[in-house]
Amino acid sequence: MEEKDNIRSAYSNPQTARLILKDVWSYDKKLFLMMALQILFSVLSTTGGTLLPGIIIFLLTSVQTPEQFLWRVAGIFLVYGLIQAIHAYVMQVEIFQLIEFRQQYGWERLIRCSNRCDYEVYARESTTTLASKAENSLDANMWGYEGFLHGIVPLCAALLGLAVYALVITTVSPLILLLLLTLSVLSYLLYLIMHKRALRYRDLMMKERKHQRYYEKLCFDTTLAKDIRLYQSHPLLKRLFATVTARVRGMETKRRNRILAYEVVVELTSCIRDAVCYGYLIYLMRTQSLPLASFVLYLSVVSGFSAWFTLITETLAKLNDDLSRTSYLYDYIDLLQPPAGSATLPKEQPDIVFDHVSYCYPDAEEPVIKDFSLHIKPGETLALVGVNGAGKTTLVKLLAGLYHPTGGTIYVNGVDLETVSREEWFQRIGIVFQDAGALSFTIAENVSALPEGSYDEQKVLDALSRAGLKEKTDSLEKGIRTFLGKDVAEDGIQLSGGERQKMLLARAFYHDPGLLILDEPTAALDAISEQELYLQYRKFIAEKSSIFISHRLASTRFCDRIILMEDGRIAEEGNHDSLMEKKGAYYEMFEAQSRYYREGEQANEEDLF
Amino acid sequence: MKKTFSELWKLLSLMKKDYPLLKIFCFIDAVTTAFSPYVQLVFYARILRFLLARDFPQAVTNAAVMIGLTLLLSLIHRVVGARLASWQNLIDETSINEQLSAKSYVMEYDHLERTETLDRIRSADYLRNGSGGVDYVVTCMIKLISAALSFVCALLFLFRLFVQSAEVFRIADPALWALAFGFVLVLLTGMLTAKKEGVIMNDLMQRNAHGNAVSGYLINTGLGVSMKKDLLVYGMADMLATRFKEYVKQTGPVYMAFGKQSGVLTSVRTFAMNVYAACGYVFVGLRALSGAIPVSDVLLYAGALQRLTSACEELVKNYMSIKMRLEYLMQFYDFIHQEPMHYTGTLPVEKRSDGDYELEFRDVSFTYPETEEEVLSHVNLKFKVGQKMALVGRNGAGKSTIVKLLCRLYEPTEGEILLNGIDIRKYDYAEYTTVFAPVFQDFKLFSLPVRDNITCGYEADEAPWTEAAAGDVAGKDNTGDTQENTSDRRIWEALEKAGIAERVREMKDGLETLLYHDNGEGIDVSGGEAQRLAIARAWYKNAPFLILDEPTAALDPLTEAQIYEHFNELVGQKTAIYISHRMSSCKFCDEIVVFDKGHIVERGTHDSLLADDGVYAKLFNTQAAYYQTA
Repeated sequence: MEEKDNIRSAYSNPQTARLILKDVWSYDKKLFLMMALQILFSVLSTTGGTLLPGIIIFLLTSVQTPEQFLWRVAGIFLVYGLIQAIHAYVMQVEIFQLIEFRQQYGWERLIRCSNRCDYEVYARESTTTLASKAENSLDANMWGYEGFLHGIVPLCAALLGLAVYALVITTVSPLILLLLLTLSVLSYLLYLIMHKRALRYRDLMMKERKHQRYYEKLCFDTTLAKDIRLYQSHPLLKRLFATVTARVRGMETKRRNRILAYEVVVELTSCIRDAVCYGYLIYLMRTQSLPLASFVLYLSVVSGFSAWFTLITETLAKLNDDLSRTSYLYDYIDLLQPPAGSATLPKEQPDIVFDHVSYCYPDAEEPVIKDFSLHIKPGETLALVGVNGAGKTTLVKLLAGLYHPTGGTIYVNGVDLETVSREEWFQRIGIVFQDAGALSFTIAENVSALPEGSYDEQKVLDALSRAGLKEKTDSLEKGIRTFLGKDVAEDGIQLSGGERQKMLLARAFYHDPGLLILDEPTAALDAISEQELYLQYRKFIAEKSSIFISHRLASTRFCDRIILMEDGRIAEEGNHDSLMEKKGAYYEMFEAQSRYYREGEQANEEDLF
Repeated sequence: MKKTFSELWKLLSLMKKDYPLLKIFCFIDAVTTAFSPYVQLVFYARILRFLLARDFPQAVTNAAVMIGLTLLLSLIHRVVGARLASWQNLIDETSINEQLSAKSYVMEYDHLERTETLDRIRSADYLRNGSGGVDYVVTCMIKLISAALSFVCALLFLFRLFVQSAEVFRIADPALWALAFGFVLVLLTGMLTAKKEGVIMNDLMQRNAHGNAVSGYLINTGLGVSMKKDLLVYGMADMLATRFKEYVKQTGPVYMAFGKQSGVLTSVRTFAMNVYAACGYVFVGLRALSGAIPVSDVLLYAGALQRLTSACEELVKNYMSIKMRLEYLMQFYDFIHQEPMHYTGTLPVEKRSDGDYELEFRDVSFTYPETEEEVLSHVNLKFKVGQKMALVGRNGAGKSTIVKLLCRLYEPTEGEILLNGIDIRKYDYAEYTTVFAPVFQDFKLFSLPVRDNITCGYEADEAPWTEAAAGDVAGKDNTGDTQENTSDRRIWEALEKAGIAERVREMKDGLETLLYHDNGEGIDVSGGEAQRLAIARAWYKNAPFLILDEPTAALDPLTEAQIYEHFNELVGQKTAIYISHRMSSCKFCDEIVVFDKGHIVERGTHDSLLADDGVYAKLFNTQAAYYQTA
């Protein structure tokens, strides 16, 4: 658990900074100009504020007439007011100028990259952990990817300002500058130590946050709410939530105390700084009759100098934090490479050969698929049966090209599937996954997998009617343009389990695949809806290759060949009758299921097929 | 305004238990924030005065006092602020959310499940994440108090200024007019720009609210693992990316335009502030030049003048900010303080060791809230003790609704349900639940250790309606090993009955193995395994009524058969209600009740119903036909 959370990024912070700036460069070069402007006006405006009290005192002690004073003040504030106004404008724009950049170069790029990624890599748990770190860097304006760019402006401004102020201070006394630098560097070092410790607590809290989120989410899970009520589990949940909370509170107190220690030292150093500067400047006034205006000016510059330095200290820490968050984003993008393979397939019905294929999940000791050999001829209807965990679903993922065999080869029409382009292969197959869901888009978009305006409406209607869902869509006010779910459209509807299965089937029909794979499609359906779906499948697969996975053994009877998988291997193979005759595992399973249906039953089989 | 403050007070009261010192600390923090600039202004003026008079020892003394006082105030501010900051950092995550979840567990299910309730909380939560939560309101409150104090101080200093320079104070003084002009200018521009800002901000929120929700969906779906297979195989991912691009193209310029608009407003306001500051300096400066006040006090009074307006601005800004946030944050308060609507029964349930309970549906009809279709219509049904009853029908016939009504998750729209002759609404809800051990069709397990999933925090045979029994860890220790062992034995027995004991034994930490990954690094269990764990949980509870809604849907034929074979053993002498699409399972049951479109259409035994050749016969034969050997 520990190691998993602490994946090291391949990018150092300076490298990440360069990558982010490169992204900005290709997005819009004008942004750099904007940032330069923001830096310039930050320095001008702050410097103006520092100079102002000294100037006022200077005017008061030097002007001849009140009118003179009046016009000078007016002139000064006209200039300073304009600087401040422009500064306010550029800083307000600064907040918003990067949102589109983050959306486009962050989220949109991630979605695009993940669209052509290798599923096997994508589904790995380590990838999910990395993904959440990468996504974390894009979550907010003020930290991570975008936050880094927001931090650059104050950092540059502070560096520039610091240089200017240091020059001013040197004219009074280089010794004072030395003292200021020493104090600042000391508190900077202290900040680094404090920040590191505080960060450690923050990371610990982030981990606890996961538990907190779980309990928070739990309470609005309406499905679970039923179990919680009937099993009166809430005292347990409340107790567990409170335990996490207490832990988090303890950590937060410790974290904040580290920061407090630093803050106290900062206050003490600024106390020393003030004492020395006041003393020295008063001494100068006494011995060298320094003018009062200069006294005021120098004091402002000194405290301004410290302010710049504190800004640098804090911004540097923030930038480092932003960069280390963002480094995962680039790791993640690197990881999401499209799988190799660019070969094309002949345009004929797929002829599939599993040649001693085996597959072992990463980190697993034993392979799930072991030395598996099978030939699926064009147009053949195949059933895959077996107990839970026998490897059926893994086999389907291998065949779909989502997983890569760890041993052996899958050939399609004689071509190694690994060398075939994924896009091409995906166009040839249609799969209704066991855990398939629908997108919260329109029915037509779900069926065609194409956005509004790009799909063939007639084809969508045909597919729906073949899947037995057309009656339903015809009854809807917006027909096939009705949205599903409420995520995207307020008036979206909810399909029942059976209707959703039919829609997913329609999607497979629309794409007219050479090979259709159905994984447990009827588990949640009543007997009659189940029968309706079987009939649809049978019509469709008449002229296609298809693979059918089901726990309801009876439903596999219409298949040309039945493969019984056991522990990653083919245990039995044949058609229903031959397997029943064999009296092996298949027979046993079939008997287990059919026993209760048969005794004293008069068959009316002709109803069915 | 009164409403805002009373609401703010209510919201603060939510934190009373967890953070009793919150209010006092807020006040101290505000005081130190407000006073420390005035300390500096006052002493700085004194120092300058002594320096002008070339009285250096006095200047040094004053400098020392100022530095000392400033240090003291800032130390108080830091210490108090540190505590406040750590409280604020957690107020929303711990205090508020803990209370929300505690409430959600005990509020009426039908109320919780209503989209309206969830939407309200969800949108409040969304706004809390985007625009600041209770912690932010606390920050605003501190600023508000501090601004009020600062405002009063500024007024006092200005009063002193007028007193000091009373002799030159004339109504026709042009400098006074300039000051008045500057003040009005700032006030007007402040008001106008704030109003305009509110309008464009609102516009922005409205234009983006829907877009943000959609972009959240697109990101979650596009980057989630669960839909990825479908997205890849059907090439649907490009559709998502295209949609997202459209969203970016739409919202990016909207944000930018907002930034520019509000930038112009801010800069106008800033410029007005500077005009006012200039007026202030002129006004005070002319006083000094005329000799009414010392030159050294110019910075003090000009500073006080500036603080007068900035305090005004802060007052208005923070008040508005609190008011705006209370609008959604009060949703949390209302949720937490909601009156229970119908879990009001108080009757205890008679404990009977013989499990002799009788349940009856009397003319029950039911329509889901916010829908029109009647799901159940005038149902009369009696569950007899020790009987095994099957509820059968097509999807949507109303079977699962019967279970939900029985569990009092919903109330009948018409008619009543009786337990031992008494309307179930009259019973205490926690007590009532002890009668049932359901395995819902869409049951879920917790991402907690196996043990907690089976026991739900209760010792074996412990009465699960007393909170103390479940919550008191210390109490558990006192009872010693014996009870621990009884519980463990019963857990293992439950796991055996459900046919999952062997799998649990193989898990890395046995009973303490965490399930799933939502709450730490746990292990995955398949749908079938989860179902068996849920069955074990039901058995462990040892309730007189066992309800099994589609309990074997995710199981393979052999496991399914195994469960069927041990069905009687599992149920024992209990009353069982069984719902399944696999018609074969009905054969175990004493009575079969067939539902169609909310009505009971047939009832009887397997044989009698087959003979009737009605709905049941059709359902059964459809499935049986697959299993006839040709």
